Amino acid sequence: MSNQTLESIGQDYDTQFGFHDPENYVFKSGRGLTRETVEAMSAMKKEPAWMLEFRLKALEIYHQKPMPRWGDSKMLDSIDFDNIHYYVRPSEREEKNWDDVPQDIRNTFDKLGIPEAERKFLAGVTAQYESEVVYHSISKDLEAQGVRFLSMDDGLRQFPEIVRQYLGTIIPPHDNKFAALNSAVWSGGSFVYVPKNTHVNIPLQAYFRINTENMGQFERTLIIADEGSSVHYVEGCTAPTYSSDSLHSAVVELIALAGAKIRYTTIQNWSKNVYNLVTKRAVAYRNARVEWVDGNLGSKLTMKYPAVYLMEPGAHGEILSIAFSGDDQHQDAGAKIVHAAPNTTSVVTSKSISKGTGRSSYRGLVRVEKGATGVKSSVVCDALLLNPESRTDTYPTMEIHDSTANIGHEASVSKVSDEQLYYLRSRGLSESQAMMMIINGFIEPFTRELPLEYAVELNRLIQLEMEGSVG
Amino acid sequence: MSWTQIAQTTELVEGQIIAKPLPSGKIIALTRVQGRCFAFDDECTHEEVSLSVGWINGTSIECPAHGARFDLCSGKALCLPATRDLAVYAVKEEEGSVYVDLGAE
Amino acid sequence: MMTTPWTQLDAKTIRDWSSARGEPAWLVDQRATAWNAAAHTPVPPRTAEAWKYTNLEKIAAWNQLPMAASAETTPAATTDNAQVICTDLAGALREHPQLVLHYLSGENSARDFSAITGQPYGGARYLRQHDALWDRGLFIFVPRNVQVTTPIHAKTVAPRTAGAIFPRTIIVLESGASLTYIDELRSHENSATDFSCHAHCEIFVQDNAHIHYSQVQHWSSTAIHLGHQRITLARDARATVTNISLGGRTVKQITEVVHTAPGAESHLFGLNFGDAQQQIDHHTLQTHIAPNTTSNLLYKSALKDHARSIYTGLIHLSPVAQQCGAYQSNRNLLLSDDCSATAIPQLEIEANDVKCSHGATMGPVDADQLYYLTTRGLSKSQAEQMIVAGFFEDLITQLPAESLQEMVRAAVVHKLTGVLS
Repeated sequence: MSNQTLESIGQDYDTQFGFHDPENYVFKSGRGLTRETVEAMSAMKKEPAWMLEFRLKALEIYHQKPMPRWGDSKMLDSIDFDNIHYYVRPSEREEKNWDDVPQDIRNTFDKLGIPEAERKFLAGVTAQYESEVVYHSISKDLEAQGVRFLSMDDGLRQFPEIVRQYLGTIIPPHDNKFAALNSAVWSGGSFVYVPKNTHVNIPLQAYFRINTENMGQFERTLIIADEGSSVHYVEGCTAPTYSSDSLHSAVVELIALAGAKIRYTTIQNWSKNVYNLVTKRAVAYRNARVEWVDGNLGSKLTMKYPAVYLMEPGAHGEILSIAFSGDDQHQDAGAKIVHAAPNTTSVVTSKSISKGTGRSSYRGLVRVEKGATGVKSSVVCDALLLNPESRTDTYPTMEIHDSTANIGHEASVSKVSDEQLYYLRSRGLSESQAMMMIINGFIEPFTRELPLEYAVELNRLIQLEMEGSVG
Repeated sequence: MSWTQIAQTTELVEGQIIAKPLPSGKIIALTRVQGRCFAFDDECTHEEVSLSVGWINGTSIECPAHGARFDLCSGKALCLPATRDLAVYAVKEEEGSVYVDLGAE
Repeated sequence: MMTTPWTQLDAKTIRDWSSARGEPAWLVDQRATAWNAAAHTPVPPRTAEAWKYTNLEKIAAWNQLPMAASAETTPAATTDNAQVICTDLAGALREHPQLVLHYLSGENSARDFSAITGQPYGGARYLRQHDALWDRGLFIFVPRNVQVTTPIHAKTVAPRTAGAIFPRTIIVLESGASLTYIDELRSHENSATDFSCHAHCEIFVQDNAHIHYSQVQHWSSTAIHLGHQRITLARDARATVTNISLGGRTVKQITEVVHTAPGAESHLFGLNFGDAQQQIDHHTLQTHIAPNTTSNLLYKSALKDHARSIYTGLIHLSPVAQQCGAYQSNRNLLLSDDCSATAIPQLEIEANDVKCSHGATMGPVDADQLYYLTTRGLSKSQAEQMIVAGFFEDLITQLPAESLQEMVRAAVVHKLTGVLS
């Protein structure tokens, strides 16, 4: 257990994470979303005509589509879309070296501990700041292997055919209102291509940050793992505290070709003024494997349901998710698996903790198409409610159209067991130490899958969240 | 082959989609693209939304609910979230009427 | 009235029909008001989870049948206990008007059913239609501390001429009372092919009273069935509710148990076996709005041929429902290549000192079990029969009459093998 003084997240956040730099950006779009904003953005990025067309069509779709009526309608209805800057570009060119990055931006990332992590753990970093990738570094080894880890803008410039082939085929702009929004104004995000039979041994990482008041963050990520390859991509983000609301609406598309493996790990810790509405989906082909490891700690409202479509025999999908909801937060997370081929398997593990007036929801789908024989799927959801006002919901759906499938789903809800607490206290632990130990045990299936740095950061963050919850 | 009369030639306007219910309750959608007629199940294979309010892009039909696309000639699902192909039917026009081949219906 | 599809009736015709039945003025008015309200209530939207998979509006047999002729007052049921009121609803209206008024109208009647947060239940239109058109029914009133030892067994037979029936059952148990009630719904070999039933059953269980309720539905394979059941439990009240669904082409059965005071406890059991083209859709609501209450649900279904089963079950604990336990288990056995099962178990938990869990499984007969039995000399079909019988046995034994248990066991065998035993 840490000996440092624990402060509640609301008090400490401002100094630790809640700072923001004075705004001196080269370009900042006006508030609200217009056709002109999209055209200006595309022109500034010097995009091909087909990309502008893609954006403009998505903009039309965005305006037509209604807000989803399921989920936390009250919170969704309170987002003021007209009061958001949709594109800000902090500097003119992308840098490859930390030393070349503008000082104030480097300070921001220094405070967040990125250079340290870079030295110790990272193969390559693209640092998302506002809407543009500022810093980009990729190790020589990866380049020699043929691995491409670029900003999405660079990916579009250097590999337009690949981007055009895959972008929007996993998540079409029509999929939902926020996918349409992202398709219209996406900026930043990562493009990753791993060639056949290449194994990337060190996690690829990117950090995100929202700074300008009412800044929308619309990164678009596309990861293609060619046959027989494997890659682990990690994202973790924080944002400063503001009084008005920020919107984060990302789209992540993953393609795992035959025999490939992709693991995508996220620790989301947006400050509590952020709406985090994300569409993440993967396709897995023959004998391929996709794992989503999803940690949701921050934001006012997160709606995110990582999905895996198992398209060919032998494919496997796994989703491991934790959600922590404190006062006034709603983590609305889940998992979707579609078995569209025989002998495919899936495992979903969801752990949630609700504290104070927090609400954690699980929404899931397991669907087995007719003809997808020999499927095995298992879903386990556990929810811990710490206080009387805490709330949890579970809404799983299983649609099974093949009679050879073996499907299991279990969910449970409880509070921290009095017996467990008593036992640990009788061993000399304080109540807060006992609580932390029980909670760490509860989320252990998740934390053991994280790179060490993240596991440590996660423990620290949960400790901050838990402070004030006991006694 | 079992040809069923389903519409009048004059009802099929270039680029527009019409929906025709069959006595069995199933609904067939029809469209004309570059002069040629296409017929397919009106229900998207993803979530059973009507395709007759969708869009024609070249020779594919796009469902307005979540963006699933299908090839009009073969019915093949071209992108997610559709994972199952769409049923398509042979069409012929004779003497002002449009016929679809519903096979063993 | 007798030839117009019931969906196309109007308030005036309904008034005339009600008056002709000799019903009191308040009921005539109530029916007309309900019909007008239904006309202004939309059909279940696609977004209503409870109705997503079963769309009655698309079924001709639901929309085009006239009301069935009320030849006899069904369901016929009697009791040998003189303290108990047990009569057809029309008779009860004449003999105990104040009592029936209390339970048939106003706040005591189920205005709507629960649903997940932010969504309407979706079936309000059907409830209003039933308020207007119920044409037969049963009223049972068990006074304080009366224990009815012999089960009351109601039998409803599908009529011989095509039509829709709207049975309404009201059961009231005063404090300390207890009753076992069986609602048997059957088709006869002379029953009409075109037939639908919209049944509505409300049970009020007061302090420390106990109801053992079973519905065994065995309509013919062409019937359309919509059933609503709502059981309200007071302090220390207990209910065991069993639903057996064997017949019908399209079946939608909604069951809600509301635990309104501490000590309330319920056990819900459901069995369905679909074959041919059946679609059997069960929707359950375990609603806890008081502390120290318990509910425990077990629903099992077996499917063969092209049958389809849907199970949606919500457990809802309100913020005051501390120290509650709520459990739900749904098991689906898939016996053919073309059957399919959908399960949507849901939890909405707003109190924290609770224990809740749910589980659902779907799959074919366990291959190891099958292998074991065939190596013991059983044919594959005999082995399957034994496994399915074993699968359902714990539910069948919940039925309070040996004859009923045997009837269900025989029906299961018949569905598996085509053999009548």
